[in-house]
Amino acid sequence: MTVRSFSLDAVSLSKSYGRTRVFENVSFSIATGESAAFTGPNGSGKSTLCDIAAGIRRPGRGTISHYLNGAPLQGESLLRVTGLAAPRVNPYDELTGMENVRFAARARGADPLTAAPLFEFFGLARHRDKLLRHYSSGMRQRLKLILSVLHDPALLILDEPGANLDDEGRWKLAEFIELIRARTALIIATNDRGEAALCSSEVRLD
Amino acid sequence: MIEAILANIAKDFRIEFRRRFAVNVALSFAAITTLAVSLTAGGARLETRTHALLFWIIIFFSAMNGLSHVFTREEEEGTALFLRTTSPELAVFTAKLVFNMAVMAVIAAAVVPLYVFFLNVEIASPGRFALVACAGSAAIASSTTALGAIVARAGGRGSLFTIISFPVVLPPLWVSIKATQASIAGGGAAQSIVFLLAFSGALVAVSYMLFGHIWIEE
Amino acid sequence: MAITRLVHVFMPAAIVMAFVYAPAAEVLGETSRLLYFHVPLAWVSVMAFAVSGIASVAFLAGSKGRFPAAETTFHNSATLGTFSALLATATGSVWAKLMWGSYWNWDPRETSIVILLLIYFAYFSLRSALAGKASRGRLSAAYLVIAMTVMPFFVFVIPRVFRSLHPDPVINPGMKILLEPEMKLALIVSAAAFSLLYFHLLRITNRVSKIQAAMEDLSDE
Repeated sequence: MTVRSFSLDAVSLSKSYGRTRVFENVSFSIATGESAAFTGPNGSGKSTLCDIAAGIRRPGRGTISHYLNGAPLQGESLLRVTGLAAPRVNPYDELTGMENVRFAARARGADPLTAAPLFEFFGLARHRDKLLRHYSSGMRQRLKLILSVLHDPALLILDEPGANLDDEGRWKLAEFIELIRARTALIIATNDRGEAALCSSEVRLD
Repeated sequence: MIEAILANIAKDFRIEFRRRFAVNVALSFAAITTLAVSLTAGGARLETRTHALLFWIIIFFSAMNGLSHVFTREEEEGTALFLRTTSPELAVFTAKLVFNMAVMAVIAAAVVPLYVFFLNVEIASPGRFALVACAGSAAIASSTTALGAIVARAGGRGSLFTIISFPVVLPPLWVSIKATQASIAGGGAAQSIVFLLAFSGALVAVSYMLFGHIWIEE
Repeated sequence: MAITRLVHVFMPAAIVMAFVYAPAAEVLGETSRLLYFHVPLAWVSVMAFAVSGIASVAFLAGSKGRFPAAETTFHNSATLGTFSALLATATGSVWAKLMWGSYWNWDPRETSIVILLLIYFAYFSLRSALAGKASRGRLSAAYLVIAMTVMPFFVFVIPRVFRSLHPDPVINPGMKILLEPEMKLALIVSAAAFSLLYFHLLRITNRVSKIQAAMEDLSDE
């Protein structure tokens, strides 16, 4: 495994939808091996901040920059090193778990074969050739986690990762986070104290 | 990038094969309107100009029923964000364009034989007729794919797609009708085909430049 | 402001010249005075479309805040363009009835203005479908840019599809009447007056939009 150093710097981000302010003047930075929890009440903009950190949404004001080994990342190069699992990021219902994985891997230029052990780890191996339409919500959440990590992202953003997971799923998630912690910059948006405790710092939105 | 484009194309076609929604709707519409025209014409002999006109009106409205689907599907099923996190916008747009070209090819391939069969058209130069049908369909697909993306972001109401597409599609529609009329009568169509290709090229180029602005999440 | 003063000078001058200074044309008679309103209105509707298109390109190309007025400009310009296109169509069809015997003839210029209206209506349908969305400005600007791309193709196609009845360049070949110098001058003054009026109204509507936005901001706090 290669050594990589990723860093994200967000300086005084603000975002409003139309005339509703979501959050104002949020700054944080995070690097490989570090982790941050986004916490705050419903509607405080945790999910929006996740999207902005992942580079799929533009902040209203402020700047956000991503660097990998000192080089700035943008567009396609950013997509390839970022993983995002969120309630609104839905894989395709008409594809099987494996087909979704194969699509995501190919689109990001990663190897779909890395998914096999992940399916094992998250206990989805039996269901990988089932259409997503027939997945339960917990299985769907496990697949979302697999999809977000299968290209070994340098920046992993998990928005409410424990949603719909049973106890076993949560343990697996915590275990997985420990496995990748050293080589990943991790962001978790959550209101669950247990999940927030997995992170070394906290960004509080209100 | 090429791998990402291929992955997107494979994904769009696979989903369409499972659901067959876009193609089914477009084809049923094409079949029904062709039959409706044929039945209401009651075997009357139509002028070549009328034939060309009816043929392209059928193609246009069938297209309007099938082409926006590839984008509205992503928004309706909530998969748009997943697509944004996996694929560069260039790959997304290219795949959708290829998909819509294929849908238009299917529509044209269905409407041509149906129309010729039910309305007894004698075509003097079938080769040119087919070329015009292809070039015209390609022009419709390439000019409306970006509009389909806009409509999907606007909430995907079907009639909105037709309203905003009509003025954009009008020039290729006129040219295709003229050229089809000429090909039924046995005239040349080279100039029209060049026009249709130039139109497609210009609209595809502008769509690529605009797609980033249409696709990004606010 | 300079534009406002110029409108105050040019508009009355244009009206007086249209009715008093310019002579009636030989064949067309007194109806020829419609010329000084119909042609400038048609010109303004096309110019407004061009301004809309350029402003939407600026809006999309400029990063945030570089052209703060671009969004209100392309929208307000489209609104003004729609009104002038409607007025040009109305004056044109009255004139067409008097000259060619029917209100509507599908000659190339009539066709062009119908297409312009179609684009404007499509644009407003899109705007209303996007009401309340943050993406409204970007998506409607993108549509205007696509519509503007299609325009040159119309210029190429329309004359080949529809035969012209319109005066070419001003009076049709069948009854060739050259504009007399007074008529030319009146037309130029009127075109200038309507163009200035357009820019004047555009500035006012932009200011109204700005005030409205500020008021909504205030009522939120």
